[in-house]
Amino acid sequence: MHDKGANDPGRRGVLKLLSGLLTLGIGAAMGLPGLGYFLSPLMGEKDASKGGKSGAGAKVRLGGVDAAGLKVDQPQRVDVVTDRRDAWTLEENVKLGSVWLVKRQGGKVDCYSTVCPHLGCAVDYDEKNKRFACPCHDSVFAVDTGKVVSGPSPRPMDPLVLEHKDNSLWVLFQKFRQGTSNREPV
Amino acid sequence: MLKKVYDWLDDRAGLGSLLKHALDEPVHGGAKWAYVFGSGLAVIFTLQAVTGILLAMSYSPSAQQAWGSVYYIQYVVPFGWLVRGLHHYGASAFVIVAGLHMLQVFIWGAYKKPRELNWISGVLLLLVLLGFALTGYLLPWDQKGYWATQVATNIAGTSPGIGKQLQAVMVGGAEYGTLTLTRFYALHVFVLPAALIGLLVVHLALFRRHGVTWSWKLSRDEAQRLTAPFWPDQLAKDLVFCAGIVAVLTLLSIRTHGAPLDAPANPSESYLARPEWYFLGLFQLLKYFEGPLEVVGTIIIPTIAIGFLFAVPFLDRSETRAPGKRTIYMAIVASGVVAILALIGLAVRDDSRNPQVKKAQEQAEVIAARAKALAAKGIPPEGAGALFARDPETRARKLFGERCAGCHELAEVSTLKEPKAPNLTGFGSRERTRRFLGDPDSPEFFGPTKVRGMKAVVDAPTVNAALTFLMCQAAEGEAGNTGAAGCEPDKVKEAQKVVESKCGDCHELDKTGSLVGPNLGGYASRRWIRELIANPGARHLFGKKNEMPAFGDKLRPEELDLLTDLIFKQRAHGGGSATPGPADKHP
Repeated sequence: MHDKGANDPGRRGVLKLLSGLLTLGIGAAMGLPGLGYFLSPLMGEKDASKGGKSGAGAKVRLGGVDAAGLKVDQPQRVDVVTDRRDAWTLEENVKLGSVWLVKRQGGKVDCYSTVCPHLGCAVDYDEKNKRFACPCHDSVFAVDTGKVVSGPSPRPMDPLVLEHKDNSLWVLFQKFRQGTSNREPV
Repeated sequence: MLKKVYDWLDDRAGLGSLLKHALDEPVHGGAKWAYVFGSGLAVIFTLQAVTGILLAMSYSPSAQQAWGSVYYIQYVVPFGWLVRGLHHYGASAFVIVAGLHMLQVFIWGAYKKPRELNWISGVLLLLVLLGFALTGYLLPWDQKGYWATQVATNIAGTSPGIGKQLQAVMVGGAEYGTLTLTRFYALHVFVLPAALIGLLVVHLALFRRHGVTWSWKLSRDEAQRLTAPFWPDQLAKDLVFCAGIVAVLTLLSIRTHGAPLDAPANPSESYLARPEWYFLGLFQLLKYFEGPLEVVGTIIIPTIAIGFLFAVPFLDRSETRAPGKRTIYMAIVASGVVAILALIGLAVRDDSRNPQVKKAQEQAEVIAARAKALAAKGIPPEGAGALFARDPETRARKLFGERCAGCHELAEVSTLKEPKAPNLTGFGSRERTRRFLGDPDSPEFFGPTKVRGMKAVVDAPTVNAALTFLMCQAAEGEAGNTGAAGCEPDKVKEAQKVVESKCGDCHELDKTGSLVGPNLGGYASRRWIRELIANPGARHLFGKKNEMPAFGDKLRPEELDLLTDLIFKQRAHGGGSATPGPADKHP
């Protein structure tokens, strides 16, 4: 009656093939969007709000700093304050970190990250000896060049790009890998 | 190579016999389309589990963060909309296919001895499913979920005796908040899945123990003779059905680009709550039982229905499975199905016939769209609820509602039975100004006020000159607007001459003055609007005829700016009248 030729091996073969294809189709329809979703961190940033590609850093205006008011060879620590985007949340005026500004003879201003290239502690300024010093592992850096004077730091202090624009100082705020002799943005 | 791996696994884990056991199940009476629903449910379960886990990777169950995280999934995460859409529509498919599965089992009489426990575990699974639906609806923490779920927990609150306690346990306290959300989330992702899997194992084990229930038309011998293997005969049919489900869900998700997301939950703003469609029947039932009888609709009828489902294997104990010989039970179930569908249909019809519902829904869509536009710029750390508090336009509308809506109408903000002052919808737009000139004393304009009495402007050259002149006044103080298209200085000057000669008896154009009508210099510009709100009785505005309170000292300067901006932007509204009235007669 209804199952004429049900035991025909050819028919079963077709059914098996059909089943295989359908299983693949169902799997793909469920799996591919899921995979795309799961692996989305590997795709380029969809919105630039997170500060573009990782490692590129973000340009931040250094508020309340008057380049003319800086004293020559007298490092000044300045907080880097800007809006931070974390997934859907926008936090306004968040302190991301801080930088050292050093004005040179002739007016040029150098900018260093306060993050120690050794293991990431905050580098202080040693007023008495006129040099940068990391309190964690006693890395010491020269004020005029940022080079290592003594201690375990594998490389000089990390310089950051500074720009004068609209009567303000802007810093390209980046973070670098620690503990390496090469400077690698993260 | 593959063969070697397979042999190794087979030898150590018995993979071959496991597969054989799973696939070689004999289907007595032959493979049938009627049996596809169980597999359909298995596939939907897998889909819900996969998409659910993915959603949980980006979801944040707190009253402040939930809406933002769902917004992020829906609009930012790659494929987020599709994953969310599949999960959303998958929930509906779960309920539909479960209903069909139960109906098939019922018609076949498959709950009868020895399969009573199959049926009972199935009814429990249905309840778990409805639990998923209920808890999931709240998770986006949007207006719809928030208010609809309130209805559900309030229903629990009407339970006799333990209502109050039951409600408090569900809500996680007296009021809706983060604890409600975390509670629902924990139920949705831990408790209910565990219950579902546990019950499913029992359900499937019992199914394999007793096998498929063949058609009542076949004798045991016939069924034995017609036996077909599950693989591939039945499985092929099952997979066709499953592929169909997945295809429909995918298409639906693509068509609506995921699932809807309403504005963030706002406890202070009432909302016309409607549950998801599969609960609409229950919702409709509540309309028929009021006051002390409410509990009949909320608790008693649903309890009887579920009680019947649990009891049916013990009530219908006759040997026969033929539906024709089980007429009472068939009739009960048929009328139950018809009743549920009819109640859903009535609920939909009631809403579609109610203009207030339609209006509320349109308003909700406007607010939702605004919320999403604001969210695109980033959601403040204090949560999506603060989106609007920071939004100037929303604050302005609220201010208008508090200060102006007692007398003035404004589209999407205020409608009045008896407006006491002009309708401000489209203020400053060409259309509205044209209507105004044609009939200044219409109820839409100065009809209800003492300012009434301006002569209508009807002859075409004057109307055109007046429109040209007035439309160009708002450019005052707007950067880059002077001399815009249609407002070339020559044209404006020419129009001004006509206005001076035709309207000059009552209106001055030099921004000061004391004639009876308001000064038209800078008409409808921000400056003009601001001055009007601050002091409408000023000599150069409505003077002695004015009835409107002066808001100059009642509002802070910043609030004045907000209102000014709201009215100023009305020109972009197109000027459609909010309340079609006599004014519309004038072209």
